[in-house]
Amino acid sequence: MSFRNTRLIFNREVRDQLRDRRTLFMMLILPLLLYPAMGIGMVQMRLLFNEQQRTVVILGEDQLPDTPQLLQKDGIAPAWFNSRSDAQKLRVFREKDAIVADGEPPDEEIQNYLVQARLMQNKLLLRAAQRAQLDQLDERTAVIVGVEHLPDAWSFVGENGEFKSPFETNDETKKLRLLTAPESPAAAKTADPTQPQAEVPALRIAELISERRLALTASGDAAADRVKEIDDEIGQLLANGQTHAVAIIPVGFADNLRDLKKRFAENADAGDLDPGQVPRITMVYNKLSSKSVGAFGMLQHIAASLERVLIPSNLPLKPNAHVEVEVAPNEAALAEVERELEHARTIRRDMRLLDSELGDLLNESGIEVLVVIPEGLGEHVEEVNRMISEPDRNRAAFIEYEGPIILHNAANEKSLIPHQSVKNALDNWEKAILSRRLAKAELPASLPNPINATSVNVAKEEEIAASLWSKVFPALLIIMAVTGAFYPAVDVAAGEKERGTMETLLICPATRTEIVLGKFFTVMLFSVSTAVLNLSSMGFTGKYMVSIMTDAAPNMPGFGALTFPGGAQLAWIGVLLIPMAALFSALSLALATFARSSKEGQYYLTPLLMITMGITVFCLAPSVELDPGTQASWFYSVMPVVGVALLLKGILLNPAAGPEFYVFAIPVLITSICYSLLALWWAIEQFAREDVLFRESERFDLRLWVRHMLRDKEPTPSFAEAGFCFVMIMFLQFGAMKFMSQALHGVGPEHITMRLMQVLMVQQLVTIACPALFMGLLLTSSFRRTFRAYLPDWKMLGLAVLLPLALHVLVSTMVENIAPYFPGLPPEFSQVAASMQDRNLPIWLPLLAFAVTPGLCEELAFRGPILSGFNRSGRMWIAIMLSSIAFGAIHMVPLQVFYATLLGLVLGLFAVKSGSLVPCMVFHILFNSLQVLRSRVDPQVITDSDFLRFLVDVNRDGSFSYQWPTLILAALGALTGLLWLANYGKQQPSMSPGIPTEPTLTTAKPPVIG
Amino acid sequence: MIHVEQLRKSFEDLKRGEVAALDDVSFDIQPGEIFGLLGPNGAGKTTCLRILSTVLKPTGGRALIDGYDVRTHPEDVRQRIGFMSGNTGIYDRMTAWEMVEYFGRLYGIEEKELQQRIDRIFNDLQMHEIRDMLGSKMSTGNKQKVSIARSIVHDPPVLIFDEPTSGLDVLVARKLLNAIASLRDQGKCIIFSTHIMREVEKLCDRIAVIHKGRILAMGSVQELEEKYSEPDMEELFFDLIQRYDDEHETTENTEPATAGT
Repeated sequence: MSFRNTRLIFNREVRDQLRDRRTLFMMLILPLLLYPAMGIGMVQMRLLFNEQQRTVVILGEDQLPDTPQLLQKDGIAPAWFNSRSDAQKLRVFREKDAIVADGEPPDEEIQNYLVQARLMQNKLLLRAAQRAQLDQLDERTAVIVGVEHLPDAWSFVGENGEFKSPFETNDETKKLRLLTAPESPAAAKTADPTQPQAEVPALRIAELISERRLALTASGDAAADRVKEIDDEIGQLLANGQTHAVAIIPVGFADNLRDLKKRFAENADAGDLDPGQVPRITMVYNKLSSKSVGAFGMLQHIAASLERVLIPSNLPLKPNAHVEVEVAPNEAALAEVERELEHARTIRRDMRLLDSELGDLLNESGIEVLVVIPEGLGEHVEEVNRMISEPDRNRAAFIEYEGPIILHNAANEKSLIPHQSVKNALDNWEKAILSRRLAKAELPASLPNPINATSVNVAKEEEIAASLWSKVFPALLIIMAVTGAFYPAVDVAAGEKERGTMETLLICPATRTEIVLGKFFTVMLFSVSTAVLNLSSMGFTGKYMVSIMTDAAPNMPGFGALTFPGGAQLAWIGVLLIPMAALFSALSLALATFARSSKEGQYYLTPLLMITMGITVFCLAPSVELDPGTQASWFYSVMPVVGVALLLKGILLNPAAGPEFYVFAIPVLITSICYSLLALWWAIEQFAREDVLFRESERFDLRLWVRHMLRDKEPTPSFAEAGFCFVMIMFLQFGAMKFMSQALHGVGPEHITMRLMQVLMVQQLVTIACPALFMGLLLTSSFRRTFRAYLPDWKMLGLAVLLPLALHVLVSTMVENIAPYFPGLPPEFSQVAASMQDRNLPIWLPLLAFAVTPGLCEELAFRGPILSGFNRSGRMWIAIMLSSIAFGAIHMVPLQVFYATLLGLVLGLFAVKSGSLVPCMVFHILFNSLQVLRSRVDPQVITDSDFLRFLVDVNRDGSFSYQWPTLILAALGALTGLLWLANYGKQQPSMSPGIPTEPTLTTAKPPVIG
Repeated sequence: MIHVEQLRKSFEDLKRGEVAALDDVSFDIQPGEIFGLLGPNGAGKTTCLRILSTVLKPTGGRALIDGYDVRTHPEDVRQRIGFMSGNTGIYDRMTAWEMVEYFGRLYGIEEKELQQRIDRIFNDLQMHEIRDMLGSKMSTGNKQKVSIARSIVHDPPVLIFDEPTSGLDVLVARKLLNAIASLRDQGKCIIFSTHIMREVEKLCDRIAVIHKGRILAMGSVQELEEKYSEPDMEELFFDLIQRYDDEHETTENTEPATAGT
């Protein structure tokens, strides 16, 4: 191989690409024009939106208070807007505008607007009326009887006898109509007899309750009957009358409470509190009437908030009790409820209709925002203002009144933006009214903001910029590196085939590797330059745009000067871009080589682009980052593309990160380079394949293909069939998850381990052994060769028995030491691990579930058709590696994946060297058995023997670690065994080195068996 | 110069399973000789020549070019052959000069010598007027000229032409055949495939009739005419193919019958 040829090809390809208009467009025109064009477009759009005036109609101008003045001659006073220029963007029409001097023709446009606006105003009034009706329907009535017994501080009774709670109210309690009734019957009689009386039944209930209390203390059937009678009557009253719930305040409640507080303050012993002395408010409701239950709930809510305020929290009493009665409402009441519900439904439907009518009206009218000032707003505001300035003001007399309505359509930007500025203006105007009131009442202007928290933003300009760059740059870098590789790759590989020059190139003296390298470097050059050009173009455009916007609105909270990342960070971008671009270039080249035409090439490369997009979005998530403290970071750092993206994100976000962060650069760079080399190797492989280079355009016929597969069977599966077998196993495992969890669902804890093992065995058979057998029987002609069904050399068998002993010691020690670097076990898996250690089970059961079944099934699949198929590549080590990666992958848990892959290498070596599946199964079963046995050893056995303590150490939690002598012996044994295995068949071994390891290991074994 | 021995090549085919494109093909070609491969479409001519040019690997047998095995020393083989076929196009975005220069450089020719050599070839083939023309703008004849220039720029001892005249008009084809004849006169060893009788009769010193991957007959035009006592080359060609197909069909038909009994 000479680099001269590679350079020649590279030069030609680059020149060729540069002569191609499409490449130039992608490379230069797009990045250099796209971003500035986008920037200009954004500015233009802003201007467009800003300059167009929006129509606002204000109805009821004469209802506004005189001061402060909201409106000016030609609209809302500019002073009220956040930005004075907002006023110019609104065209405000009022009723006054329609009045013209005599003789002049009325402005039809304004007339039209006003007609439409009045129409909408009427609808709005209708809507408000319906709203009020609905609220009334939802209303519940509760009566407090004996308000005069409440402590003075609890005077929530308004002048008109209505209850005013200054405490927590919510939307629910607002629906509660609270009435008060003095207990003296005389007062009750003075009430207006024409009104439907809620108080009268309430008082009757109060009487009944006191009678009930008496009846309860008495004994005998007569008393019980009486209680029942009373309950019946109360229930009737609550279910069918005007009152839905009643709270009764007992006589002397205030005095009792005061006494109690005093006593408690003197002698803070709650033990001698006489329960009879505790004053209680009694609440009465009917459990069978929904209205009554609702009212009771609201009452309780109010009572709870009163308690919190009035009763010291250290006082151990709850001053309310409740009496519930169960009496079904009579038919008339039920019908009434039903009628009310129906009525509410009708109103809601009408309101929805009205809303949609209003929406249509607004859209058709050409009015973007309609402001309706309700009648009497100004008077109300003035009245309150006046009340404030009076010296002895009565706060309770404050009135509530309707505010203006701003009608708009949030789905339409044309309406949304002016709505926002009108709303802001009204808010500012409101604040002005408020501050005037405060001044009049001689209260400080800060009254509405008693806390007035100030947030201080300590982000420096560089940090804001860094946070922006760290999001944008890695994402853009990845996307652009792929896009940049995409088109040149299609052109230099598939395009060459399409234009019929591929064969010309193949018969030149350059080797295939030189050709691929030349093309690869070309693609990479374009990938890198596209990424760099896009990045810089976007960076400069962004910076320029921000500076323009900052000039226009200096106090805009934003990105400051948008400082660029420093030189060191830019250098990192460069360093990380190279391996990433190499990976994408090699992948695109390999895929494009497979394609017959440019069009096909684009189809093949689109998935690559989609996957990369997905990865990019994943990396943008704020919680996904490289953090030296988390184990997941190490995984991210070795994942293709993700590692690079996250490292870059971290570097851009925090340039001052310590060395503990930059340590991630090592795995990221090493793995990225490995990935790109692998991809490049694949591309070269593709290029050397005749069926890829000379692929004929043919109709793909599935039936034909299946028939071909079944007819032209070969002794062992093909590479692709092996891959398919693995994918099938993965899919089956994925599909089996649901059934597994279903099988375990609802199984009692005493059976769970048993069921778990059954499920595991079934899963092994169904998802691993079956697909392998199916593949082997259906798609190959030699079952024996595919599954290596031969008798092995006895020496091999011996080694397969001995090697697990040594490797088990090493692997379990390694697992203990590296476990902290891996994410913890998911709960389902710890359950499996726990069941393995369950000493109550007979020993054969876990052995069958965890050793024998997987040993047989997994070997059948992974050292059977999968390894045989991969071995067709002709490269033993690659076949073994691929099969062990596949073997590792089905173990799901990262730690297990790791060591299963390592063991897979040994197992693969066994299979290839012995040509038999038997040693693999023996090794696998023994290894797993040791794992099971180890967890069932009684620690006592070890602590009792000096010799065993020399070999094995018992940890505090009862698990074991091996001591150094054991480790050294195991390492020596494993090394000899593996060397012998690797060299098996190369030369005839003079003696079996497997034997010397035996004594040492058998001494280490007894503790394990226990 | 070219030594082919029991060459075999088989492909996977979805419909027919394993298909032999070349079956037991052997021949030898000497320098200063034009060897014609004559056969209908799909006979295996292209496959054979692609193997000789190392683009495909044989599944059996061997082929030596100037003593180098195409399987083990493909780079040395490629250094010694000039190959031209309907599938060896020229680059659209390269001028004639650049194209020939590029391949000359890939063959490792010294820069000064290369320039002289290209100049001479351009003279010989009267290509100076298309010197700076892009490939995409050229006529088919000119493209063919560039291809020839490309295949002889490194002065290879062996030249392989796979249906070089297909798609050319009579004038251009005639010029091309003349150019090939003059190459023979320079002592090149030339293998040439076609399905046009006239070209074979005019140009080839020896021919091999190839059909369904097998060589049916081989020898000089006279030898073949005498051997099969058929003075008309075209008739001879049809006879050979017809006879082979008949034999083949009978065996194919009888085979299942014997298997059934």
